[in-house]
Amino acid sequence: MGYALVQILNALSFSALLLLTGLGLSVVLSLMNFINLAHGSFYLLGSYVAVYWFASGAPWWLAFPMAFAAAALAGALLERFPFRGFYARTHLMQVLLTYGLSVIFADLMRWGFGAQILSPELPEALQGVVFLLDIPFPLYRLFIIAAGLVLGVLLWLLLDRTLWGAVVRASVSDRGMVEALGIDTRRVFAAVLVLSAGLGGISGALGAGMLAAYPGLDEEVLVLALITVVAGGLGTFRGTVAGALVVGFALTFSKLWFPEFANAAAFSAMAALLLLRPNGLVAPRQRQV
Amino acid sequence: MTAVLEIAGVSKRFGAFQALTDVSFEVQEGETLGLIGPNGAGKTTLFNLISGFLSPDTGSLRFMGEPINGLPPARRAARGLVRSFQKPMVFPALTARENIAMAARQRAGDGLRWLGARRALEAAEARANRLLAESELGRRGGERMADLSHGEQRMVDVLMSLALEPRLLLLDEPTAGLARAEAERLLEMVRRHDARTAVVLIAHDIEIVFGACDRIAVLDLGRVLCCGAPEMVRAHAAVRTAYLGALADP
Amino acid sequence: MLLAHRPAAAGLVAVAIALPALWAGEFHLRFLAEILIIGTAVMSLDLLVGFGGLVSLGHAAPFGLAAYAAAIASQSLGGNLLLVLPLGAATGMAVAAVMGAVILRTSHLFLLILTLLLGKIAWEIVFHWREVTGGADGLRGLPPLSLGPWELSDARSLYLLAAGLALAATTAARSFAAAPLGRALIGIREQPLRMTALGYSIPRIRFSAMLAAGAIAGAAGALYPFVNLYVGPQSVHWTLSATMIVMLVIGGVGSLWGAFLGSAAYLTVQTYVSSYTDRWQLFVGLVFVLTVLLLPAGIAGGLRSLVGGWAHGRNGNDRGA
Repeated sequence: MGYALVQILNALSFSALLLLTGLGLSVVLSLMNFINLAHGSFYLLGSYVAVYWFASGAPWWLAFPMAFAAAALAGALLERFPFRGFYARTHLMQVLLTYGLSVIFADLMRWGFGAQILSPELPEALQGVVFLLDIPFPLYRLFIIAAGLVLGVLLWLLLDRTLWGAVVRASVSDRGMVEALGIDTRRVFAAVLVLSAGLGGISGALGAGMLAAYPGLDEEVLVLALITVVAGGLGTFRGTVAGALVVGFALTFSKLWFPEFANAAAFSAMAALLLLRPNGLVAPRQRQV
Repeated sequence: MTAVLEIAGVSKRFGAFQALTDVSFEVQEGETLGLIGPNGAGKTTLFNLISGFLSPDTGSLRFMGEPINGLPPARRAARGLVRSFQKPMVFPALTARENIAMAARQRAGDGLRWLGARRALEAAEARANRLLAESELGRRGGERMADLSHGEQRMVDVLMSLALEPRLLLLDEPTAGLARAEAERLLEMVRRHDARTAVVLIAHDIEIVFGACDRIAVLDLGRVLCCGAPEMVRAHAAVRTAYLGALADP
Repeated sequence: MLLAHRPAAAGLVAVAIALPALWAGEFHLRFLAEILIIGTAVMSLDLLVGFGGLVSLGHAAPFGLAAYAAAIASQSLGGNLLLVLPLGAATGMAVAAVMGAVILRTSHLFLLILTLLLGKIAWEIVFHWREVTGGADGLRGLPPLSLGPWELSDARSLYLLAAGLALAATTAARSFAAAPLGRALIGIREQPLRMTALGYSIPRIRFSAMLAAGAIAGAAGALYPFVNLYVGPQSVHWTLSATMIVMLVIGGVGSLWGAFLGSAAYLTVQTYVSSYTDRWQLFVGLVFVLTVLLLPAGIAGGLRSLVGGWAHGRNGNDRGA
């Protein structure tokens, strides 16, 4: 019983991480129809920032805003060039550009931070375990679940319940009309991309305590985030939540049940899911004709 | 006369919106049936149901005497139930000839051929050239679709449908955006092509429909108001008030 | 468009193939053979991407699994070319059939992710099934390829073999693209709805294209272990799938022959830059980004626009997606 609870919490903490990473990917995908394979780089940058920040002795909780800021700054620069010119291009071209960039960033980060696995020195407040039905569970994972929940709700409020969110959504459905209202949609899109990059950075900072930071992690996280977003049905908020839960639980439990072929089993389950629901878990109904 | 298409009690609902209610009529071999009605009356939805792109909530569809409910669109097309789309739906990067040949190859059963490609390609090109000549577009066959005028694209669009040798041809506003003379020429070509083909025509230009069709069905708010010869429809009181309005005044 | 109808082009290709065979050394011949083999696989990917608009991020699976099948079979049955090559093609086709069945009704990003998932499943199996695949170490100590009494183990024979395969595969792909089936594939890329209304079965067209591309990739994969004297899990990894797409775009989507230029450019950068600096991935990424920024139609497209109107009319049909 306690064992099952711990595994469920494990899965939830992984899902929370996937949710934050996936949301960063899905806001640009759903709002701007832009697919950003460099999102894994934002994540890894955030991880490295957190590792160095925790080691520096500065107030530990500032690591998360710092990771957000670093990735957001990178996102802002990339948005000016070359992303801005690619919003209207085909997905294939976006995939190629951003994949190429991710290869460059991966190499730059290996250059700067080294090829070894860096595990952060967690702050004392987040160290240790709590006992759930007599079974120890890392406190840090509970922190990730809480952070995922809080940030997810904040983002949902921002996009769904504020005037700014309304402007973003309107810019997507009718750019010309919004421009006619005197709003610069280029700045709106730039802001969305910066937000997305920042989300990538902050999820990297959170994830560092769980997955550490090393070259190649950017790709692993990116692929899982992509699967999350697509399994969820491309871009709806509820869909990404559902996708994160499915991917998080599938990966966690397949590691328990098929330790050798864990990923193969989890990916097969995901492929089967997409076969049964070709448009993802939460798909907006579309008419063909 | 034999009925090519029999529609009985067909209804379709999208969420809370009742798009079609208890629609029934038949289309006979060789006849041209006009389908008119205000925007949103359900004309295109009806086409989507007949051609299989949507399935009806209730009611039955029979084509050449056989039930076709549940048959996918491609299979309906293979049996000779052919439709066109409201916007010209062509392959813009390909030539006009290749557009028509794409249809002709499918009709000849060569659509997915790899071996024996040359003979299949030549036969389809010959067929496409004949159709182009028939429509006085013979010299434009080598042009990319994107380089043709709107009227020419409409014409090629219809020729693609004709290349499938349809038993029933559903034309969804084939004359939209065409000048009156162009539109009449297009419909005349369709009629001349094969006298046995049944045609169902959606058009907004009432004069064209009344001039070209043997019978006319009027849809309003998803129901068939009336269905009959043009004179009868013109005289029908409900149609006069609901639809023809100004046209009905002397 | 077949080479047989264009004697000048055929002669040029023959000379281009013969020249290195006469003068190049061992290292360069093996390098060229690798370019041709990878290029063949990339060209088969062009059938899917350039003609069908089906961007597969799992094309390393038919290629790599065929390489493993050929290597494993050769360990017990010997490196008979007439066994290895058909086995590779059949394996590639079978893998593509599975992938094709899965992607029949999806498109765009869903297709991308599904093919990526399938590719990752293939990699996981290869990586963890150590008794058969050697796991992370891969397989070494393969017997030499042979054709009847001749042994094809020296660099020159391998190079000529790869060139022969590349030529045959290109001819097959061109005839596929020109045939009604290939044109239908373009049709479902451009206007799927109309194709359905014309009575074409989109799943059947896609499935046929997957089979053809899988068979070609598999045949190329079958030779790959014998050129490198090794096959490892990297040949199934999704980064190879992504690299294939990169090569395709560098070479030019939708031209078929551009695939060879792309694989040559990419592998040259990788090989020569990596001998000067550890930062070769940086350069590969830069090449990638610069291609998309400066040469979106690839080298083939660039050459074409240089040659200008000459090629424009003839190749109007096979523009990429």
